[in-house]
Amino acid sequence: MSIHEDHRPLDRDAAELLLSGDPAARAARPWLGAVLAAAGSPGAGAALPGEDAAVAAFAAAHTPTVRPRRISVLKTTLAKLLTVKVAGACLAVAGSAGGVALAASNGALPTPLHKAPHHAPASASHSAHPHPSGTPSARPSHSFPPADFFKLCQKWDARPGHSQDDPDFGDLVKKAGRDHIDRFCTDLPKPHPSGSFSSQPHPQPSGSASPHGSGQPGPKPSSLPSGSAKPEGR
Amino acid sequence: MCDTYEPPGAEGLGVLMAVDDDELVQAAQRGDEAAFRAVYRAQQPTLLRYLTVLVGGDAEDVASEAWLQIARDLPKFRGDADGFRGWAATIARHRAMDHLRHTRRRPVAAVPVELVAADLPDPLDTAERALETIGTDAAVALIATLPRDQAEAVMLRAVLGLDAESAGKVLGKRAGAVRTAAYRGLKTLAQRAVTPDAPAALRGVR
Repeated sequence: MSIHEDHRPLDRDAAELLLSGDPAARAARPWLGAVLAAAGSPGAGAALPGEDAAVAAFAAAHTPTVRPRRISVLKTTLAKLLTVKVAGACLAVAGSAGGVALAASNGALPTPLHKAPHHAPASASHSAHPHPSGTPSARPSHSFPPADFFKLCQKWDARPGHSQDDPDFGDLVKKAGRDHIDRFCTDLPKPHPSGSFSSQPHPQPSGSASPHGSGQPGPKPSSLPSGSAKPEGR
Repeated sequence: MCDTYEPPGAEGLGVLMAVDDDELVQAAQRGDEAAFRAVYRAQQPTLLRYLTVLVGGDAEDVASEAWLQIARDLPKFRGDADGFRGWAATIARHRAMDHLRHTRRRPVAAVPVELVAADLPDPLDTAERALETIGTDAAVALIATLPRDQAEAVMLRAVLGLDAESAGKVLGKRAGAVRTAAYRGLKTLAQRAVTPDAPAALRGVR
């Protein structure tokens, strides 16, 4: 067989067979068969230049609807969160400022207003079971709420014949006045000796509780009525 | 899944394509990247040759643009592997026409046959030898020397493996017109066959 045979006239049917890759037809026309076979040879199947770009485009086109949306959703969510946070921070600042202003106007500055309700019931339960010991160390020594005086009075009463000059009773002397300790202690209400929380509003006459120094985190007259009414109602 | 569709060797891909072309295209449509890669490897070589006939040296660039569109529009494609070849060829052709429009060039002028001749088998070679030695690039270049409608018809049918109807859809022609164009193209190619007694056939034709 020789390529001379390609010079035979080509009919349409033979052309169709050549085009569709018919082996016999291509063998019968070696030249045309070789050209068509070479032109139509399959790729090596190996990586081709541009393949990675095409695959990247494919990946971008298939994760695409998801990815940009996810990002935008994230952004939106972040933006919302930030807005909420900022708004919250502003509210918090405004709120605390307002709270301070309110507390100041009520004359109740040192003790946060919102804490009183929590302490009132707690003190009620505590007052039912006096805890005479362990409290002094729990609060600053310079603070002397009624409970401390009660203890001092107990101490005072427990040691007849002691001196008012005993440094242990210095504060009591200061508070009650020299030579008036016995009376002071007698007048001191006994039923609420708990003293575990010096700043609790105890259900006691405000008059006897408030006398000591200003600026103490002691019971406020304004918080007393509610504080005393509830626990005792139970 | 990469392991499923991307065996290390070339044969693996070939076998896979041979075994299940349709499934591979479907997998790619579902977003399977490895399947798409396999489809690309199977399709890109012949697509590139077709584009070479249309835009010459710009074929790689145009093919890249075509694959971007193929990758993007693949989910919308409906059909089997044969349909995919025609669809991909249509996209490639549109991109080629756009490219020619933008560069204000006419489709590649038929490649001077002299340039092709150097790559063609020695005139003294037998047909068997010719079969072994003729290169793909030389064969494509030879087909590109045909008038464009003939060259396209031959490429779509003999290289991309489309039947006359499918090729007609790509070209916007009726199947009969495609058959005729391809037939004329083959007749011309046959006349250009390099033979010991007709070496001038190559040099004489422009």
